Amino acid sequence: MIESARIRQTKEKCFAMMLRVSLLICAGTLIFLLGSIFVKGIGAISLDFIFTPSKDFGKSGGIFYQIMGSLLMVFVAAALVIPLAIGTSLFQYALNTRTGIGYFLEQSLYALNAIPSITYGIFGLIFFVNVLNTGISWFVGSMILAIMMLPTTTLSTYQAMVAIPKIYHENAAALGLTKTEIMRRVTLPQSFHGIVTGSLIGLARAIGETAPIMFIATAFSGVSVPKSLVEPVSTLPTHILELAQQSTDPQALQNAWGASLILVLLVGSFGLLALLARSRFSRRSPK
Amino acid sequence: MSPAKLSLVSDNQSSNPDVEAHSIRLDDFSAYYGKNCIISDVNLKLPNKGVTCLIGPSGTGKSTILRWLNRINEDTENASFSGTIKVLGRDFISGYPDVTELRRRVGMVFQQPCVFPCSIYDNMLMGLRGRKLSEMQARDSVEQGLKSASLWDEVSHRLETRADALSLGQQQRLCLARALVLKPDVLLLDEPTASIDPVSSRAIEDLVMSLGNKISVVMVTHNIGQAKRISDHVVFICDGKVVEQGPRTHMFSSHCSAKTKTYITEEFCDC
Ligand SMILES: Nc1ncnc2c1ncn2[C@@H]1O[C@H](COP(=O)(O)OP(=O)(O)OP(=O)(O)O)[C@@H](O)[C@H]1O
Ligand SMILES: [Mg+2]
Repeated sequence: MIESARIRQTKEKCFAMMLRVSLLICAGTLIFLLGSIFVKGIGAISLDFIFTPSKDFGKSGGIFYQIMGSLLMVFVAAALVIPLAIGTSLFQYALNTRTGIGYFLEQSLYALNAIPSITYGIFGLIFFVNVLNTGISWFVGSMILAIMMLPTTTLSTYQAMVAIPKIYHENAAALGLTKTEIMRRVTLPQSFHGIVTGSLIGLARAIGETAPIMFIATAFSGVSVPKSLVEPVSTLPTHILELAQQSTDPQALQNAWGASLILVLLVGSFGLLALLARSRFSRRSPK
Repeated sequence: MSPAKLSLVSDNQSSNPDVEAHSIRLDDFSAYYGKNCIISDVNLKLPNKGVTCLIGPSGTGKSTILRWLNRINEDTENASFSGTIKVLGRDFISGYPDVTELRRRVGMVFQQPCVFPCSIYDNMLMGLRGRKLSEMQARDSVEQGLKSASLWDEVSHRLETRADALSLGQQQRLCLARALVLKPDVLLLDEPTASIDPVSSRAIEDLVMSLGNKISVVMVTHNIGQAKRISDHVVFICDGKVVEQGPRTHMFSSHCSAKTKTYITEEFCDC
């Protein structure tokens, strides 16, 4: 008896130890990464850096147009994806089935989520730039980013819908609301936090992407704010890539860290907004 | 038809003579969840006016009956039925090709209060949205509904606040008020006082009795004293069957069956 108790205790200690080590690895990596970006990047950052255009392939000047380009592309992508995500998740929700089309749709979303981002880039290059002959265009880039955001946004919205207690639907139905009215008055308002968090998480991911937009939407230099849909922009990730390629130059390296810090801050603020939205708009459960 | 009656009774009711006698009629009605038979061969006739109390032990299918009367169970997975129900003289399936009509005429308040996470005012208008009402008419309906559920005095100054901030008893009365603005011909109440305090509970009882003078109210209750106070008609259900039914005076007298007597006095049933 005593023997087995001791073994049990040892096992438990080992397990607790393992948990601590994995936590340490995760948190440590994160802190190390963010910490080094912060330490190395903070020196480059000034109001000038944020608000002036880059010069000399980024070696001097700031990153104003890169920030603008990134924000423009992801916000337009979000504007494209939100209606689509709401439609898709409503459709899936209304089907209310784990088989047939509903199942196929859900699996497609997961599959879409797993596609490597460079594949999207190549697809965009072949389909839009070569076949449709759009040329390098930020709008095409936004469309590609929208497709990449679709699974996250849709799944988050759908899960918020599924989490609404059935009793709300029954109460609405008992008041004589049609299925469409129930969707509009109950399902949509109560899954609003899912739509917001889903699109913010999607935004946070999309703003850091390089591969899908590199060939189709961005140019490395000589761009400003675009005046039409079919102009290239420059974005933070592609700019960082370009600076990293000149890393032998200390000034370029410094600016690369600075741009990285700004990018991380943007991603972080989207994540923070998502958290806020979740706590603020989340459905209060019935008492 | 007098104007007062007009507001409570809808047109198709007057054209059908059968309706005058029974608001709801179940013939050999059975209900199932999957293969489990919950209710078997129930025959019931509920009068056009008055309060009918359904009493019986827990899990005997009282809620299931209510949930079929307005076809809420239609949307419940693996729920099915056999037999017929007539609601206000029409078959509850073929007579109501548009289920929302049935649900507007047969109002329902569930066992658990459930308000929508929006303002009190918007909660009240939830069922009226489809109809084109002017701002004035909408305000009037809200006021009338809240008054009839004796909630107006408590909330009239804060109609725009969120309904889920109300107390449970207030929420339950809001659910009732929300159902009443639709002016139903039949009202189904599933233990409306189960989760609330004695004072609110008395207020609801009074309301139910006054409603019983105009429409048919079907109320499930576990509270025998309550059934005794407010019912005109009592149906005792046990194990999915109607054991006995009759006017209150009969059911609470010494002439009722032995089983009913045991349940009423000891709240216990051996079937
Ligand atoms: N959705 C469902 N799926 C399967 N079985 C169900 C479902 N809803 C209810 N039941 C079963 O049907 C039976 C009757 O349930 P019902 O809710 O009608 O009882 P009740 O008489 O209202 O009980 P109570 O007085 O406790 O509310 C119960 O045994 C219950 O377990
Ligand atoms: Mg019940």
